[in-house]
Amino acid sequence: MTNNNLDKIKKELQKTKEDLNDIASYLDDFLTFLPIAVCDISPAGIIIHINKSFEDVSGFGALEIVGEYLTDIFLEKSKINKILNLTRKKEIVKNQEFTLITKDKKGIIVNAFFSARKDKEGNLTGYFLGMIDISSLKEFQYEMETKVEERTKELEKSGKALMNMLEDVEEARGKAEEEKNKTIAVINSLADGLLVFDRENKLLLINPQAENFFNIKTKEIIGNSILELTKFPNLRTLINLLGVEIKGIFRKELTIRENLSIEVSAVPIVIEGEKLGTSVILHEITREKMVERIKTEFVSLAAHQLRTPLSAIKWTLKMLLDGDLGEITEEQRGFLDKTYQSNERMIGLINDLLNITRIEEGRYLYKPTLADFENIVYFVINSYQEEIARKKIVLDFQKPKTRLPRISIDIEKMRLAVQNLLDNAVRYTPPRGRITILLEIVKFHDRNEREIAFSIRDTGVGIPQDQQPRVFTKFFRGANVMRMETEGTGLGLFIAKNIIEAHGGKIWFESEEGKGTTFYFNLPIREEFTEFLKEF
Amino acid sequence: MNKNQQRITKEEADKLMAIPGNVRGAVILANLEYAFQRGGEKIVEEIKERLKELTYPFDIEEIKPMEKYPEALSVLIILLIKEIFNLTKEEIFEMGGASIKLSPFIKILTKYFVSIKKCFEQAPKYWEKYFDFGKIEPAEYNEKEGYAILRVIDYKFHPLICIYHRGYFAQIAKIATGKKMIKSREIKCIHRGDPYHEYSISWK
Repeated sequence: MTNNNLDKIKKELQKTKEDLNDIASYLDDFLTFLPIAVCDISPAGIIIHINKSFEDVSGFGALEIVGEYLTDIFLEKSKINKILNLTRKKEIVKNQEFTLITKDKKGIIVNAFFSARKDKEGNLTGYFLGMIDISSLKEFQYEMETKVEERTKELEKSGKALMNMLEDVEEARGKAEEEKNKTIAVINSLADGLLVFDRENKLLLINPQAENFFNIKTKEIIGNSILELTKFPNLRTLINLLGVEIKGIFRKELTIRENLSIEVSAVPIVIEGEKLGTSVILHEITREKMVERIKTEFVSLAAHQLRTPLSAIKWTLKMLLDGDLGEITEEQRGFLDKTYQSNERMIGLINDLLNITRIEEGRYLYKPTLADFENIVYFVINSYQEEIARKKIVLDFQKPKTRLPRISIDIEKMRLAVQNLLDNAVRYTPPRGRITILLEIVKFHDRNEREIAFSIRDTGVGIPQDQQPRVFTKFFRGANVMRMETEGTGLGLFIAKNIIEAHGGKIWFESEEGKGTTFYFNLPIREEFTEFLKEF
Repeated sequence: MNKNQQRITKEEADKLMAIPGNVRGAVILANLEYAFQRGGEKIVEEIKERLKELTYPFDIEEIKPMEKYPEALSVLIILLIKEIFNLTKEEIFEMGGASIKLSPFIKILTKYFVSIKKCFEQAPKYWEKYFDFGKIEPAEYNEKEGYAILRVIDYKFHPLICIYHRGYFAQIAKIATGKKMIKSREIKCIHRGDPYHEYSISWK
């Protein structure tokens, strides 16, 4: 070899050394930078090289760990050997989870990758092991699993609580069902008929008694709205009474058919101020009506039978008092006069009884004509002038300046109503008392209607508070007036009320015992006679 | 430094540095890395300072793994490390093993670690890659008994290096065999009048 060639070879060798040094430096930098912990393992399982990341993850320096067994730094020692054997066969084994025991004896979960190194002849020269610290990830996973586990336990607890609640609910439902069955049994066994409507006025319930009243089956009508119920002829009278909106009513009589009368009450079902529906109670009063009819017929018969002789007595006494049957002494006149007055009261009573029976039998026929109401009031006042003067009562009649419109009324009946009110006022007002009659027209702008308003206020004895609800019932007489005045049938206000209401009016009163009473009634101003008649 | 500890003298250094023969920088770098890991940067600076004191200044940061440098320098650095850390014989043995652990060239040497037998057989080649003098000779290999005998011929620098080499061979045997019980003994030594060094490495 020439010196020239030798120099060339030396130069090439030097270049190669430099390249190798550069590669070594590059490799060193690369391994230092590599964020994955890498180690080289001998075929015997000894660590022979580690990179910087391995030092960071394990805490071991090369001096401490190189030359040591790989199994020494993992918790799963037998698994490491198995994986190395597997790597020998498969060359690459990925994603194996191990616990790396660090220098400070902590366990770090790592995801490990194994690769077998072989020489040209295929002999195993060692292994590469790459590791990624997934302890944070595992910690997160553990936290998540713990949370999931806790949540699962909570859910299980909630589930148990829910099951308990469900059991409670089931028990409560059972009890409610039992209560419901009891309630239904009670409702079904009620002697009264019962219909229950929901808030949309749809029929929710009808009990057997109500079915019998109307001769109708539940399944035919249940769930129908009140408007739909009008399609059933048997129910029409009831629906007409209740109205489409089901107004609240109390003990309204209804004759369903011959020999079947009921009292209807519609009561709203209200819970915590909210209307949930309406219950309609049907109480049969057929027997009461029959008894009442028999009683009325008896009273009517008795009254008629009594009136004829009383009339005969009246005219006989009249003739005696007038001297048609001869001269009478003053003493005789006194007795006859008292007898005549007693007979008159008897006739009045009989007339009242007859009026009552007519009212109750529906025979209290009205003969409406267009009349001046003011004249009626004047007429009645005039008939009481003598008595008013005798008791020195001041009577004040206040009326509008303009004439009142004529209205359709039964003059005779209306006189009777006003008379009954004035009679009471005069009768129960002490001497030198005051009676004020007020007549006016009131306008109801919301209804675009006008009414004649009548009121009569006295300074009489008044009606005891506890007895006021019975004022318009038959034979009612206040306890205070019973003590002071023996006369009076207790029928006047009952008759007056029926007359006013039959004219489409409304009657009411205000009273304070010892101070006086004011009765009011309003009458609608209706001039259409035929429309008026329909009201009866 | 311990007062009783003997410092390397200029004469000893001169005597050592006069011995010929070169070694790859990788060996020197492994030993310096050992010193660095034990004592940090200041130890490396101290070594540099001592080399300067002994009149053999050397810019050790510039050592390249593939370049050849005097083996005497490499031995002097080992002796300086021993001096600075006041290393015991056991620690010198350990430093020999550490040079394997920290060698930048371990990456290319792993192919020799397929088996202890292959290591034993390939030892001369391995020596040649690192040294341009002397040689290593496989004398006996007994897999059944678990031992091998190696001879290092024409290598005479300092008796402490014999301990260093024991550690070195022991570490290689451990890596190659995977055995925990490794014994490395020098049964013949050139410093004791033998014609060569002979090491017995056994494992079980």
